[in-house]
Amino acid sequence: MSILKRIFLTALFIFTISGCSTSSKQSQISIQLPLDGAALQLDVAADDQLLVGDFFLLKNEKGYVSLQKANTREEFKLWGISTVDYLNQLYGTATPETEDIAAAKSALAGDVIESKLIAHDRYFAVYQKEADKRERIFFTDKQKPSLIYYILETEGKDALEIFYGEK
Amino acid sequence: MSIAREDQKYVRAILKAFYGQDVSEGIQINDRTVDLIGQMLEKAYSCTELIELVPRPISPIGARPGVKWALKQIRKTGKKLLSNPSAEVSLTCKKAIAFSFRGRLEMAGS
Repeated sequence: MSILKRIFLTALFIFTISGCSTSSKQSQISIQLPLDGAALQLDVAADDQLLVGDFFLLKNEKGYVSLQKANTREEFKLWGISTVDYLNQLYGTATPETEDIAAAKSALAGDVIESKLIAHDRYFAVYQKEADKRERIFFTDKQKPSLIYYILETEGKDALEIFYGEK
Repeated sequence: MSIAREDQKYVRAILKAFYGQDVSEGIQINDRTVDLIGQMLEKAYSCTELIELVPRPISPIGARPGVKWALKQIRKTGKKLLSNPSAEVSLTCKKAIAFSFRGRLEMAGS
């Protein structure tokens, strides 16, 4: 991974998915782009947007927020499963219909202390909390079904607040 | 604890199996990374033919999880992956575990 990509991955959490709104007011903040033993300062305006690949990470001493983009292309090819059904079977309340998903669900279940479907106008979403207070929300567009889904993960921050765009 | 060059090769092989070449090369290898990979292998045990798991030793409360144990698992699995890169790993299991640990691995390497 290039240095530039790594810098941007750790830079800023402004993205365009629904529920994560930005204000038109100009912000005066700057963020640090970490180098080995140093950092570059980057001024950020509230309407700036960050372009990333399939993984984004924002961190500080208290914890981190990450966003991963994933797809179900192979699963759809193999089993004809929709992304909503895949997420619901693997992370949510539905019973897995394939051994592969059942085995994965079982392998991951040990750390999860809370798991529930959460409501959103646009997304089908599953919320999970782990014993060490890590939180994840797996979500996919339910209005325009696709093979893409996202994983929002937080440690030391409230994932639900970020997902719903609350201050 | 420094990670021996040979062990680093096995760690890379495992990271590559989970994340592909590009991502695996960007993750720094240290004690915390090794421990996390040990946890990944522990989770993957039930859904892959790659891993013959030795039970993780019980640590005293508050102690750091076993890096030595993780290295043992990594050596065994890494050797298999290097000799047979196409070894069977359950699709969903591999992806779900990879997504589950990506943030922590990036944090551990920073």
